[in-house]
Amino acid sequence: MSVAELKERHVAASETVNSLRERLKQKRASLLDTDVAGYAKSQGKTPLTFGPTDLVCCRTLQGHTGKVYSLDWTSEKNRIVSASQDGRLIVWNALTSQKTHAIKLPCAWVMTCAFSPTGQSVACGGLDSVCSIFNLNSLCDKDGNLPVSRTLSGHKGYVSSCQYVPDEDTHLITGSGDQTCVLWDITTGLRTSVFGGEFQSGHTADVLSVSINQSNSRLFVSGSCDATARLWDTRVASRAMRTFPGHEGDVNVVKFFPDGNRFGTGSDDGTCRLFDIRTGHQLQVYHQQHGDNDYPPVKTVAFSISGRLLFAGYTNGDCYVWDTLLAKVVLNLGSLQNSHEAQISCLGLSADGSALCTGSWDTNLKIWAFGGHRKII
Amino acid sequence: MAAPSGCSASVPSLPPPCPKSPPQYPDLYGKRRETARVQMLEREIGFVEEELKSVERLQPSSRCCKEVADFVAANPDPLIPTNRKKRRSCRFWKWLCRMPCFSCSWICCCCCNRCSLHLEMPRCCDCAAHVPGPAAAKIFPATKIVAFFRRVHVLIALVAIVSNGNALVPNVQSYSLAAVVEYPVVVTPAVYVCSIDA
Repeated sequence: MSVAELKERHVAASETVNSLRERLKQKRASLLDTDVAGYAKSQGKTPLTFGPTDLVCCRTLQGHTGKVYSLDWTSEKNRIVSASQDGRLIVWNALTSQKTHAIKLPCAWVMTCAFSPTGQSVACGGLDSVCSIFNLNSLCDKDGNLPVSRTLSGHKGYVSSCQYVPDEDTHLITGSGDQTCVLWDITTGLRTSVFGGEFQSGHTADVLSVSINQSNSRLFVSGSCDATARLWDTRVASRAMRTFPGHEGDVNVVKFFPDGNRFGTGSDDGTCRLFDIRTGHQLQVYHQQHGDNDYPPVKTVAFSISGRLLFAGYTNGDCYVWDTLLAKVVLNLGSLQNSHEAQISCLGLSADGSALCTGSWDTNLKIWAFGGHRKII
Repeated sequence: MAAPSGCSASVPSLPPPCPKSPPQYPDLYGKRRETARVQMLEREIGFVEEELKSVERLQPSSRCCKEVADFVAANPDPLIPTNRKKRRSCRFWKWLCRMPCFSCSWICCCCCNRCSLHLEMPRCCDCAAHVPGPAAAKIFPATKIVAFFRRVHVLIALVAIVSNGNALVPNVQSYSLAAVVEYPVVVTPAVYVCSIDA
């Protein structure tokens, strides 16, 4: 077959796939008989009300000298690791605000960090296209720096996101600007599986975020500049289990809902969405104008432990607390007294759900906890 | 050599320069790439057709929404003001209190040391049941309850913050409470704050 004939076949195949996708979209739309807010209202769900002192900032973690880009809690003991434009990872004791480690990175352009399940290691990645692992119990070198204990090389683009597989200090998953996600064996430093890529069915643009299912660690979701989120099974790297279109811009962040059967997204289109992994349904869109025709991009999201609250950080400095059931904003952390002075770039809940940590371009991290009344009605 | 002036002899003009075309080597790289793209698209067609078939068997979104709502209702959340079911005895407390509730898991320990009254909060006010785990923050601002115990009227003013070693509290080390109750009626509340970090 000549190149010209191949190009004709390409055009025909593109038209077919677009037409099929349109049919699929219409079929799916016919199954959306309600969204979460519609259902919750029909059930008479009581709206949440938050007073300005119901969520209070109880700690400010100061120490970074550049924008904070990423943070992660341990699964126990209330420690946090943060990554910053200043080229360092800092490990904090969230209760005392003390820094237990300040790790100078070999490459300052870090974008993501993660705590291992046991809390003994941290991982980070960025523009150097590698994921570096640090063992927190290692001895420092002669310059006082913690050495890299393992370097995970193989991505052909920046590492945008990394997360350890739950209950395993030996495996983690990264998302990359090379359009792939990779499952790594940290012990050997080798790639166990590559999800997507040039000749595989996967994302067609940079991957910006990954989130692993805490109840079934074989499943993870990824969010991409191709405006989709995809669900993967680590046993099947050749294709995504499901693709979730809907957003109209880059999907900057994905995070599993606490029940493990749904996940939330945040996008450049200014909306957060809730998707169901088993059916593929888009269950809810969370969007609200911020100012005059203003729908700033969503950069980070996190769910509270019950799933009733969705925290979303926007590029204009707002940090909305959404009632996920009624799709209403109940609080704006960005406007509270003692809040951050710049965009909130990362968010995370502690393992027991009692505290929220926010990281910001103002170089600080803040811990928020419930400070209000518990009512009887 | 230039033609002599005035001479109109036509010099045949050279044809315009015509660079030689590159040799017709087969464009294997481009062909293979294009073949791979077509194969990927045809594979994608297969996936979408499969998904179209599976969508026929899917449940509507309302069932998923119900699952979400049920999950949220079944799981307590330390970051949310708790609303509990109204029961008859609680309506009594609501009338008396008209104020937010608070954890009573420690109140008897504080009060009973110096109080011969055994104040028993009704079960509906057992907030401790809703606080997940010892690490949860329990922060309660100043509140006032009016409690009736048989025919004795007791007024207790509380400032209460319970902090254990693992809780996150807003810059407060600890509070202790003392309530002095004088039978039959007069109650003198006294609240001591141990320390507050700036």
